Amino acid sequence: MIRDITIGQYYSVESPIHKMDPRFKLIASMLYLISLFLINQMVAYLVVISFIGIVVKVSKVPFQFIMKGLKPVFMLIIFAFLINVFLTRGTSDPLIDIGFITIYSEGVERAFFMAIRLVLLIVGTSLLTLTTSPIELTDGIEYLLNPFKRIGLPAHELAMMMTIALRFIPTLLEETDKIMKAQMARGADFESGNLMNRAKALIPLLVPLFISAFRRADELAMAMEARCYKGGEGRTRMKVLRYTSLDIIGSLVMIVYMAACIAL
Amino acid sequence: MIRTENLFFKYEDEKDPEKYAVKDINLHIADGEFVVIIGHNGSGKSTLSKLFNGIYHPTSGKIIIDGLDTSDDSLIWEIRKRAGMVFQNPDNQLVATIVEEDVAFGPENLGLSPEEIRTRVDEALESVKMTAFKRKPPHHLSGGQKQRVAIAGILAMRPKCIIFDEPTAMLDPSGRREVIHTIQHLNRSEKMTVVHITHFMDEAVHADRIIVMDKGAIVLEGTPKEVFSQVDVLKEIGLDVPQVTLLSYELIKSGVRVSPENLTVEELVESLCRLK
Amino acid sequence: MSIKIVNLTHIYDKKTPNETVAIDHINLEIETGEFIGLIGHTGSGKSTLIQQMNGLLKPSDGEIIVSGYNITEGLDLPRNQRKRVSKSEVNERKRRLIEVRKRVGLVFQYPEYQLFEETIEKDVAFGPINLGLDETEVKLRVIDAMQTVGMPYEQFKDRSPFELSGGQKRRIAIAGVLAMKPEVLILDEPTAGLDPKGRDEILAQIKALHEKEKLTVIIVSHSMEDMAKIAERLIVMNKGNVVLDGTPKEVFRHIDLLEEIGLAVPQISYLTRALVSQGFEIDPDIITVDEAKDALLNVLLKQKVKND
Repeated sequence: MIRDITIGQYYSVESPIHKMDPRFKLIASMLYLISLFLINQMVAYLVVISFIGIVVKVSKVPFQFIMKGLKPVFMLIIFAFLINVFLTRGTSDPLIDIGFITIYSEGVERAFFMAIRLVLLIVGTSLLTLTTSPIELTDGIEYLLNPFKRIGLPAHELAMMMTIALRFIPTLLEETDKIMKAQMARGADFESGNLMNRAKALIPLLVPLFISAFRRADELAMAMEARCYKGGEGRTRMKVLRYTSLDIIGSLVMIVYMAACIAL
Repeated sequence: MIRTENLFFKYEDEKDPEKYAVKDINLHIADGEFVVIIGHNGSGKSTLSKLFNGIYHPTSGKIIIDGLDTSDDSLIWEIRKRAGMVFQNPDNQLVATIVEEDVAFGPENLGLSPEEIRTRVDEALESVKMTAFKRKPPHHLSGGQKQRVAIAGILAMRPKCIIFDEPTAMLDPSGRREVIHTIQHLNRSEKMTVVHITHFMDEAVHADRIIVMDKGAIVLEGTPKEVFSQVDVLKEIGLDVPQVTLLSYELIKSGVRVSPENLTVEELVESLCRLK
Repeated sequence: MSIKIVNLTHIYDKKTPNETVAIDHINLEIETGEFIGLIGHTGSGKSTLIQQMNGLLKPSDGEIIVSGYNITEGLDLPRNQRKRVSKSEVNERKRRLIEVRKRVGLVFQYPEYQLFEETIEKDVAFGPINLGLDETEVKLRVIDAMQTVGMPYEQFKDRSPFELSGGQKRRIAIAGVLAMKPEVLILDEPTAGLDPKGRDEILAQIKALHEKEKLTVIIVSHSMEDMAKIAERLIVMNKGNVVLDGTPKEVFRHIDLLEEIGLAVPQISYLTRALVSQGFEIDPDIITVDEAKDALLNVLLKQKVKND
């Protein structure tokens, strides 16, 4: 059951978006997020929707796949929608006014745009992880953070931590499954009981898991040292990130897009 | 390649002042040699391997790796570059999420150029026959495949010697076979000096030399035939011998005149046919 | 207790592109008190089989009956069903699982990684307490189980399991399952990662336990040499099927088949085959060093008499 969980869901196909430099994609995603907070008109929303629609089309990631990413946050979107509907006070006459519930047309409008904004936000960010492999993503982040090293930001260490975490998540999930089964064979019950009992039932799972994680960390540190790892200093990379013509085209598109968003 | 002089080592948290994990080891391992160190858990064999790689420092005595003294801290990275090390648990020595990225980890630490790293990674993967898996994440590989990737990661640093610290202990028989074949290939075709630490006696049969350790000291040393014919000593310290050698030993005890140095089925059959 | 496996099938990820048949209509009968070696390479289905026998996996089809009790019945995981399950249903499932685990004990590979309590006594007691036994009974069982694995209760009970050596940790973990007093004990590679001495100790203890308690034992192993020495019956699996089933002697006759599915036979079996083809008049079913020694001494002695 645990192995069904997919982390950093990268959708592996060949597309211009996939081929773009992760640094560019990170910056573009950030600009896109900013653009979502700049817009407040129907026309601007249409621009953003058609923009992201085209990007999705170009990325070759199936639309349903992106919609799957929306499922877990669906409740949040509904919640945000309702809050806005009920709590926004309008200047015009209320649309509905029954006892304590008062709904204004501004509220409905605002809630509607809020929900769209949230959906656009999630589609945009998941598009980044869907088209960029975890390793490219960490590389991109490391490069982008490099200038901040001077003010003491451990860019390399952060990226290394991310890589190791990504590397060990599947291993630890598998291990969790194994320990869980071993304890179930000894009669442990992870399924029933009240909250208190369930929390207590996790001890036989968590203690061995932590011990194992520490042991792994220890051994990994030793293996990394044996492979001459001495931190980021003097380290080179096999794959050097390079901007290509795709990124230039992408940049131009982003400039036009941002200008449009600001103008509207 | 590796030389030790009166090597002693004691763990820092060891309370007993007389208890050394490694006691008075004098060894010389030549270039291109295939040496197997066997011993049961706690015999000091693993500790010894970590001394070779500069992970531990000798309490007294000396270790010289390819002319470099491991007690000199400034040489430590050069030593690790020349004497690579493969560990027991394949999962806990792979760092990256993609096979080729992991193999690149060592050369990247050495500060090589991207082109040079690329060449070395491709060569190393080819050498362990894992090229087809280079874009795969490690958790999709079997134990034996993971261990071969780990070996490639060391090869890409172009060491002169590789120390294998029980690389097969956690593998199933087919994984063990894969790894053993890889090790033998490296020694024979690529002239790599190999120090292989194990407690599986069948992995020692093809070595140039076997060193048997017990309680931190060397108790036996010699060719596989010389060592395995000492069935009494090996049994005493709780180690196995190949079944054929054991049978020869039992037959000799009952007065049959076969050679005590039979290691393979063919050798014993030949030996017995002569009696017939 | 006798075990009857009827038409057992297990399919992972059913109705998805990853659908794999791990167990393919297996039929087996195991008598009370048998000592069985279960052999097969990784992915042959043996891990799935032993997890089914412990109620950890529900078979896609077929049943497992342990001394008349159908252990595969009523194991539907409530969360697999869309509807809310009532409390009584959950309790019923829990009760049935306890019944399963009273009958079949499963020791996983590297069981020492499941130790978690502060003291050895508490850790060994975890299983029996989960079975709902009273305090005195739990204590009796803990004492007994620790004795069986050669770790005397008085000496070890208050120590932390984490300060033991690897071999000792493993024995404590095995004691944790023994304390549940199963009728059938299944061990998944109990000697993996141990050195020859640790391996021999554990196998000897399992053998002694089998003889003393008339316990049905199933050992999953990769070591043909060990199986030749201790198992009474071998079951060889490949691709979810039982391909060979019989005494070690019977099974090791099929050298070619075993090699074809990635397994081997003991070195002595190869020797016997070579000797027979060289005209030695020895039993072709010899699989252990002791047997080979006796047979060869016998042959050579006859030879000597003839020559004199």
